[in-house]
Amino acid sequence: MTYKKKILILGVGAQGSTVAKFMDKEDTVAEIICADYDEKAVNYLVDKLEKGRGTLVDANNTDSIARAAEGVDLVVNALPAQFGFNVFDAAIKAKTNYQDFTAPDIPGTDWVKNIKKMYTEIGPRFKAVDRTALISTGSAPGLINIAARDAMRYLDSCETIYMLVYEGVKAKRFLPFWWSVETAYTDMVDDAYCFEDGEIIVTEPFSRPVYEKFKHVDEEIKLIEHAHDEPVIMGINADKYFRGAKNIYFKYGGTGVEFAETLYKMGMLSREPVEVDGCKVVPLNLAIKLTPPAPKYREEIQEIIEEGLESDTGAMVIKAFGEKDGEKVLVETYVDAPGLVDSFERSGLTAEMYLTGQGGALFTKMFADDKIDQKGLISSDMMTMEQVDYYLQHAAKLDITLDTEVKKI
Amino acid sequence: MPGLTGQNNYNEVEQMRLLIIGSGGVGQSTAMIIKHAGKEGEWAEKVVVSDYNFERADHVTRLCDDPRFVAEKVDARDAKSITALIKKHDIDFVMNAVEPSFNENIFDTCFECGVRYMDCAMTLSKRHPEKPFELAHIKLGDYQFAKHEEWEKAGNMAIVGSGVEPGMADVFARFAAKHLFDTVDEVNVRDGDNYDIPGHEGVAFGFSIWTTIEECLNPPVVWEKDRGWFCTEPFSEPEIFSFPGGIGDVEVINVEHEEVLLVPRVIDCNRVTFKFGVPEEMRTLLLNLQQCGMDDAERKIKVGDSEITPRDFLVKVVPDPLELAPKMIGKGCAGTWVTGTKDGMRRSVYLYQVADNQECYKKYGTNSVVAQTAFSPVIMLELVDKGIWDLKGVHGPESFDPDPFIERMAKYGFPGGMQEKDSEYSEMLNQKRLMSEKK
Repeated sequence: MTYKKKILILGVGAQGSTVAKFMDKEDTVAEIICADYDEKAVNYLVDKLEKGRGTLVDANNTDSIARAAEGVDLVVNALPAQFGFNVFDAAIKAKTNYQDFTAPDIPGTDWVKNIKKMYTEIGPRFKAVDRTALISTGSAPGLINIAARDAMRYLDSCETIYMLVYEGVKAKRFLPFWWSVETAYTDMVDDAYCFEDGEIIVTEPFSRPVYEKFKHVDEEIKLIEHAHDEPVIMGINADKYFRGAKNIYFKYGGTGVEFAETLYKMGMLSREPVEVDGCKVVPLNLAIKLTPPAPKYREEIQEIIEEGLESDTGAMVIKAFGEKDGEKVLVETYVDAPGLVDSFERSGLTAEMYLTGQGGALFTKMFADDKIDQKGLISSDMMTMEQVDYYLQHAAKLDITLDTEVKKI
Repeated sequence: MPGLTGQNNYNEVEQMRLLIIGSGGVGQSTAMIIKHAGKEGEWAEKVVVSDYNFERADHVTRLCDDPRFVAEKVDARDAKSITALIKKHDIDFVMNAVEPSFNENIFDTCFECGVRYMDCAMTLSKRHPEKPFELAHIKLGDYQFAKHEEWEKAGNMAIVGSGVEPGMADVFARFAAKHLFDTVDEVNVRDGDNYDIPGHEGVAFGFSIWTTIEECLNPPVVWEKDRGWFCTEPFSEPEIFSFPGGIGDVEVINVEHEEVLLVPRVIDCNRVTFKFGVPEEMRTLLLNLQQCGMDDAERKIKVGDSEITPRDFLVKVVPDPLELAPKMIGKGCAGTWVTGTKDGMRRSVYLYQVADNQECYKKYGTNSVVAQTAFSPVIMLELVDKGIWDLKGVHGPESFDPDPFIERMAKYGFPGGMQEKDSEYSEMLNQKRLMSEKK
């Protein structure tokens, strides 16, 4: 009989709530502690859980987090990225395992340096207390890294990996983003990174477009450079986990991207204040203020679906170019997952929330099921093939599956 | 010296003492075209170029390098500021070259001061509260035309909608009615271009951003003899129009524009429309701006400690059309397509003016869109100064004799052209031409 785990969920937004609800149904879990600075949000979630209890934390204060993490087996960090290092410190102090959904991003610091620091400095500290930190475990990064790892089964060597994500759900009403508007805009205007010729390099926002005709999507889609963890973490791990890939790209497209690109080109996503009639205003702040927020609550999502959707589509695709048995091949893997209507019917969530939340929860399950045996810090792309199989086996139960085709080129 | 009585206070014999309010693209081009006209432009005794941003006005007068041109600061929202300049420089004509949101104040101040008035875009419309895409409500220029009698009684003159479109396009309509047709069926203003900014990735507005948003996102208005004025959805009724000057086929769509309000007041016809080539990318951008309220010119939004109007803020953020002018290549065509009958045959004619951006930039330091907009009022100012155009009250350009305007186009560097489009009449002309070649 597996030892039943105590899990601390830090941050009870969409991602944290989804993981909490998923783990509430798992036999391997004894208790779920829901923590946030927002008491109302904590109580709202706890009321929905059988194994839940609530506590308040101040994520700016490492001791506050460490106190909440005392005696737990796993801290799931679902807080905004700027709190990442605080939670690392607290987890190490409380000698507990750690999981997050995205790399820490501290304004004014070098993001790539921070990521490297996680492997070189934070990793050994977790190892020293015989614990594991598993980072970047949502859908992208997370599920997409698993899919990329899976694609490596079909290659002896790899040259280039493209990760293509297309958000094609279009509501009747104007709704450019299905997640935090602030995060969407800042992701889009921040420097993006790709791994090219074996180096991590900075790319311009909205630059280097590629055009892809996805299966099940009628039109050709433009996908652009987008600030994401994958090319950085996978680039760092390319030799060991990605058959020596020299080029790794993350490209992103969809309604929100097209909308944001027009604003960006107009200067409306700039962080530089502009003076109007003696007032200084940051264009990005006005854009955030005026853009409708993504729906959060069941009733809102239902209303949007009932209004009718212009399209309920999307794509998450890995294209890995390399060699197999001396021949050049392309491994093309589609991640098939429920769309908006299907996700809502299953869970009351949007497709975005469903995929990110469930994609992340599957990693939490692996912790609870004692399937993560590495010590130190690992990212979701560093899973063994056995771990990839376990993940995919349980993902299939949620109708998240991979469809892989190997093409000679 | 002008008084403040509302009565005509200008001397019709003296050379014009002109106040240009706004030294953006149109204001700058107006000043430069007067300067470039050399002796032909000497009807202007003094040209005061004013702007809220004094440095911009000063820059324009430095470019003109002529003692007749003087820079001043003005607040177009403040009647006192305008009045003070009128008094200081003994102004007898005001040309309004700022965004039309300032029109009412400038128009009324000119009336109060008893000086003549001209603008390139009329007072703004307000959409119908219940059926904005069906019914016209407060139309472009309604505010100004409602005051026609007051102006007429005071012996003063206001020429409204006097740029290229409206402006030259209206003169063309009158010219066609006067010389080319026995009966006019439709007057369709059509505007298209093949502009490009090589290497430019961002958004490029060729004209005032504020006005572009206003024109393109307001419900377009159409006039028909049986229905009067009515509105449609933005970007409605797309059609391919073939433009001269090497531009070729461009998809044009309905846009709210003054000609539709002006032409039917004077010219007997059945239908009036305005269509403009708005590229697909620009349409998407404008609709996106509208969707999230960034086009809003009235509502104040609180951002941090500041309160701003989104559209005014956009104007500050988006690159000024003046900045992009040096890089833009290609040509723009403005014109009026008139159909009707002549000598018992159907006839179809497009009267047009094509301007090359690089040529305009070299001459006037602005892009061709604003240079085109500016040359028409300059011709009209000369005609007014010389007493050739002289009507009291509030008028659009089609109210005046078109011939002297047409005669002066080439002189000011903007020659017009006429394209005979396929029709019974053109067939007859073609046959005649063939026979004449035989002789």
